Amino acid sequence: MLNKFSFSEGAQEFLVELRVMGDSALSLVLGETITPDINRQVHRISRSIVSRNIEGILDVLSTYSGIVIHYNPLQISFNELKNLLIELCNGNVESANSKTRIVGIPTLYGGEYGPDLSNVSTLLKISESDIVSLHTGNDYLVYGLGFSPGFPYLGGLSAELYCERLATPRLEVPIGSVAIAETQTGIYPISSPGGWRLIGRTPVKLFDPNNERPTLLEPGDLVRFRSIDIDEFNEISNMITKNEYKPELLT
Amino acid sequence: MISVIQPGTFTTIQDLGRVGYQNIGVTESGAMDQFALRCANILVGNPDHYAGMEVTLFGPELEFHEDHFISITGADLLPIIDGERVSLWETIKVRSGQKLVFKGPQKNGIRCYIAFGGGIDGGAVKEILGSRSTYVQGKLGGYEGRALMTGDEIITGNDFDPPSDTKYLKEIPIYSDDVVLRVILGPQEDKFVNESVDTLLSNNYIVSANSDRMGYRLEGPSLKHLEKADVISDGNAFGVIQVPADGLPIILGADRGTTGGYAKIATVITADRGQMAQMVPGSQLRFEEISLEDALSEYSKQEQILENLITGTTEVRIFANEIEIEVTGSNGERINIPQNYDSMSVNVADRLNESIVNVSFK
Repeated sequence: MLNKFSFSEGAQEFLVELRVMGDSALSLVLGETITPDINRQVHRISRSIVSRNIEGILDVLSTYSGIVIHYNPLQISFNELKNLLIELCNGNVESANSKTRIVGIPTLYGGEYGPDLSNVSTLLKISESDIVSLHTGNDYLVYGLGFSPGFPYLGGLSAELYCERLATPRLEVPIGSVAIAETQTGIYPISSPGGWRLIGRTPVKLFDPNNERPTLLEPGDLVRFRSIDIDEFNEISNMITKNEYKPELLT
Repeated sequence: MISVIQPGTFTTIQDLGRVGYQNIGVTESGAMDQFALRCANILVGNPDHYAGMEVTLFGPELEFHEDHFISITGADLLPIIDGERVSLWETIKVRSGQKLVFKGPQKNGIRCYIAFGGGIDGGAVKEILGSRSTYVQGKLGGYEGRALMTGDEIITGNDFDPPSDTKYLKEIPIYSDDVVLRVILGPQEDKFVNESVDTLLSNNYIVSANSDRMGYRLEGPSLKHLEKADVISDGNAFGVIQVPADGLPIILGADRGTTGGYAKIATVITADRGQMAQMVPGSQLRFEEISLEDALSEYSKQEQILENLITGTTEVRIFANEIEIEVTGSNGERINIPQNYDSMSVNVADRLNESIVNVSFK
């Protein structure tokens, strides 16, 4: 196919494939693995598309290892977009972000707040408390926000916690649910359908459209989960209701 | 002001959606049937992107407290003003004190759109993240982030060109309970066994009752993944067909998640978005493959219909040589169309400043 090309940065070579997603979106795929290097390229390319302000490009969505570009094909064609992307992929290398934020996410694990913790424990033959230790033990890179408003795709989950998604997604996952699926973990910022396994819940608000910054997390942040009990959960919930809660920013 | 006496089954405020926020996970929302909403806006003299009401199944009861230009497009949910049926797809003048009610859905189509001169703007409805569309799952936008309720008050804006004449759409879309949706294969058709593409394209599916603005779950032959259903989460477009592990396709709609982790076998083309939006649970559905090039030409045709509705351009087709045609406007002006053209367009707005009343062959 003609829709493949490559570019390099230093000694590293990246393969790119463009795929059509209907007549008004295209998918740029940088690989089928989740690595910080590929994700850095995704955000670099995505930012350079947005900064060019090109007529006909409507929305640019970056994920772990790819970008989906929504466009108006009557204003810009697939081939014009392709040429632009080849140019941008080969463009200048950005300097890395200055300071990484670490955002603490207090989480109540198990029970009715994490209804899948027990079945994950059975599936993986790991005790519930060990699952909690494994989950709180790593810092997770925010690879992207997507699926629903402010939903962070977090990489860095312990390989021991690998389990498949549910065969049939739940019709309603409660707001704040902390979940795992395969190599990923995430937090549901609003209640929505979802197929990930729910191991806990956080009272923290991840999305507020009236805020100047509508999402708590941004790509490139690190997330650190912290196990809390029901009393602390209720306490934080109250503070949030009264608008007194300050996010746990650690560096 | 317009008051909501009864909200109907599910009536939300929608425009053409939230554009530019998918990178923080905020999905598009907006009218499911964008063609219908855009037509409705044009018919009342609005720019095509203004916010109107998306009515699903059983319509609302609305009372007007001022004179308004309105139009109703999309599915025929039997709209009635003062005991009389009103036409769809044309400009309607309503007077203060009149009420609009709906008697309920007819055989085909499930969503209709009500546009108001000036668009819905003000009061509880504000622009949030670039749009007035309601995203109910996210409790975002529209009227307090929810479907309309009894007692809600709808405010309209002033910025529009009140139509001097009744406008109507000539080629009205026809909805069916035996739908054909044209698709472009991909982006991940290679994640399925070869036969599954044939299965998708050669069988009937039924729209499940479990369908909404997020997506249509389909019942029918299940599709097989080569290895597994899950891919690394990537972006979703309107009309993309994702297939979870149970093998049953789901076509994603306006309130879809911006990203998803199930392999996507094909994508419904933009020109068929309206047909898709009007599918009723229980409808029979077939998929037909189409090339990107043909999909774009269908898209252009649809845009041309809207463009013609705005400018009043009428396409005059002359199928034989040596025939002269004369077009007369409502102001009595005449234009002779030169002979020896296979087909040509006459921009009546530019050349007559009025609508066409007569086309005669000499």
